[in-house]
Amino acid sequence: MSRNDFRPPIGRPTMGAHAMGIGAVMADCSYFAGYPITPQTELLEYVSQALPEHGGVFQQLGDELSSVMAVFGAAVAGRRAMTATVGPGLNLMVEGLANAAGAEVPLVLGALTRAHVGVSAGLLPAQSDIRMLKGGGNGDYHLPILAPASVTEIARLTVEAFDLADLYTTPVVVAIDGVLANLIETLEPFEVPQRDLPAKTWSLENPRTDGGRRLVSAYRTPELDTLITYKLQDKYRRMAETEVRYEAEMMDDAEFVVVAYGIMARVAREAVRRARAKGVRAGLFRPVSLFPFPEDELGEIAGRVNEILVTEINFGQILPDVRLAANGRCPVRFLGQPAMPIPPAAVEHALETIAAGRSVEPRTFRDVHPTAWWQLESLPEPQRSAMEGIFAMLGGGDDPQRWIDTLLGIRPGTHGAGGKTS
Amino acid sequence: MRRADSDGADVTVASNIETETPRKKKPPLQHGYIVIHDQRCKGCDLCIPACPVDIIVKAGADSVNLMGWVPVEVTDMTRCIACNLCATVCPDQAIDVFRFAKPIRHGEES
Amino acid sequence: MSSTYQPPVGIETTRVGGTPGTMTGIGNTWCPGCGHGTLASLIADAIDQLGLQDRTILCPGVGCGTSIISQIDVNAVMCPHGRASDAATGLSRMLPDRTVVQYSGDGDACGIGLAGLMHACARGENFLVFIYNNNVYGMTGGQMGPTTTPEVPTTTFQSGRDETVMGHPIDIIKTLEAYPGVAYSARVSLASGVLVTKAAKIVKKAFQIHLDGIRGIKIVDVLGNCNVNWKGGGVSFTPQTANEFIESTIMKYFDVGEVRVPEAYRKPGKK
Repeated sequence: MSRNDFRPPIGRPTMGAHAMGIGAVMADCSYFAGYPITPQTELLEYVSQALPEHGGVFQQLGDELSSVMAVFGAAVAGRRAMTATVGPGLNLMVEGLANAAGAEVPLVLGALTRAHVGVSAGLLPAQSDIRMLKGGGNGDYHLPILAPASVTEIARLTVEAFDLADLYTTPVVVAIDGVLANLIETLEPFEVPQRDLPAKTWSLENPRTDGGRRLVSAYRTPELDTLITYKLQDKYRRMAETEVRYEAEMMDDAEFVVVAYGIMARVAREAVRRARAKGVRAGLFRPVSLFPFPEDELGEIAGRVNEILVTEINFGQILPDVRLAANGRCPVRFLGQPAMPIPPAAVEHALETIAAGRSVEPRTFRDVHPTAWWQLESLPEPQRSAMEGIFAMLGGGDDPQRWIDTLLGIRPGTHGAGGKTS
Repeated sequence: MRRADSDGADVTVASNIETETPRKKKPPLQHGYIVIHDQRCKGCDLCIPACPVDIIVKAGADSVNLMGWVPVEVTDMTRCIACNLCATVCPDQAIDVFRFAKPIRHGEES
Repeated sequence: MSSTYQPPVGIETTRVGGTPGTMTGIGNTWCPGCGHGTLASLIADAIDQLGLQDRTILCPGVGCGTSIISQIDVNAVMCPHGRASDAATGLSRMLPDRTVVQYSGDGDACGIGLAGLMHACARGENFLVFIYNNNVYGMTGGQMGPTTTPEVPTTTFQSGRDETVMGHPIDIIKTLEAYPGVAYSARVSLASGVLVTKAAKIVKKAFQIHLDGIRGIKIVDVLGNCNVNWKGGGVSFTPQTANEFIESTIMKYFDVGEVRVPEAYRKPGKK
């Protein structure tokens, strides 16, 4: 199953970030460039040793932008190349990704997403980069996104991502959240389908011959650039026909479907089981490819179920895709929060709520206190109430800005341009 | 013999006449010749001051090429010394320079 | 028109100058008198003379210089603005037997791409860098750039760089003197025939040093004109006056000559 002499540590406890590196080495990745950022560092440390052992080159460059462009250069040389980053680094990489998509250069991006807007000190896991990954840069391009949900699947889909990239000459994203990145579980045996990949006749590795020099991204006229954009759309249409991946569980008699990917799919699976035990006919739909999105399949499901519940660790980044797929055939509810997996109990409660015919509200900061809330949720009842009492005494009230001010220890209204002054 | 102004062809000719004594006029040696691809020329005129023997001038305004530029032309090829400076400074690869194996002295045979 | 001269019959002639064979012959889109064409010619000539046509990979950044892709008949990849150093890093690491050439403008290399270039120099990557330094953002119409010297009129600083606001121009060759990863560095000027002849030697030398297997960045900063877009404050130039301006003014700020030369290539008695 490996494309070289590398033996993956099957049966051994393996971290999700390492599994991504294992996939890269198995796929015969020749070049990896990156810049450290939590929680991608484990991957960086892994490939820094594993890649050179198998004939590859590992480089740590000046920033994420340099990294993605060096990977672009290596890919242009006809070699398999990969980089990986996290939200704030992805901001820098978007330029290189858009250019690689437009230049039709195959490369693989590991996106290990974490929470919050802009620079975040929290380092909490989340799925907050999906919207940016779907496009993000300028122009009408998309990146195929694969969203595995287990350590074994991370390794398998990383190998497949390299094949997809070569097949469609496009950057491909393997997106995992910070939980999966640091999750350690047994690496199970897995098989990667062999695909017929086109020869890289375009690569600059091919020698120039008379009248046959290789040019990548050398579009010099508006007319040519327009043609390229049309060509890209054709490619995305072909992908939508053949590269859609999803998993549906407990769907035969389902009336209420949870749509979730990554770590949230595992949470949702547990919630669906619990809800079924209570008599709610729930099912789970897990899109594995977030682009191309399993639109037809989900649309068909939307036509025969009562309601769809989307849960994500963000505020609805695949929600528009689900709504478009449902296209009004059934109501689409949403349950999300900015960071950390939503507890199974919350998803279960939401399922029960919609089964009872009531509406679900996205989680607010009152459900999850802005400080130490993950400890709060796991606390047994007397302590939890006591802690909530302490927070109430601190005087946060219902206004997030007041909580922020209280926690920063400053006079209310003096932090943040968006703060209320009343 | 550099000239700042590309329109100074007449001035140069005048100075030549001034410095040369008509009685002992020594025939010039021709070391080679140049070919100006006038369809490539954009008329930037950088070769005119680069030419040390001042034989390149702007062509007449009726010589506009297909790109719409007025190219340069050679007034007297017999004075070309094939120094290659015109081709060196040409940004548009519009000049090729050829050198004779042995310079020709014009006026000897006649 | 003018090309009616017929050479005498029976005299052996050799072609000593003109279009290098490595060039595509496609008409370029640069303005009349722009030094990009001259520099492209010099690079093509060096590739020609050293027989590197089949193993050179050109990485131009974004700017007027990108057009060099259509000019030199070698494999090429167009890189985004400022990213040529990074793409050349990946390319040269994967194809170490090729001659990877970054071709940038001063805005591309010393402005947006400075971090990438300096890191490439720090790492001692193995490729060539040619910077066409015309002191201005030419493609966008003559805005002030990182290397603009105080006298150059620009559209954003009409009477030239205001050093109280914009500080001082970047001398990339002096900046990179601190990096041991730079194998060869030099600045040349295209302001006159004599200077272009000197530039040709240095461009060829950079290729030769690379070909001889000396690792590191070989960088040549090339002072050229932007006679069309040096136009702020109502000033205008012709190609010739622009070249004279380089000699009289810009070369006061930027010293022309070799700065870092590998031991084996130094003339005896020079450092």
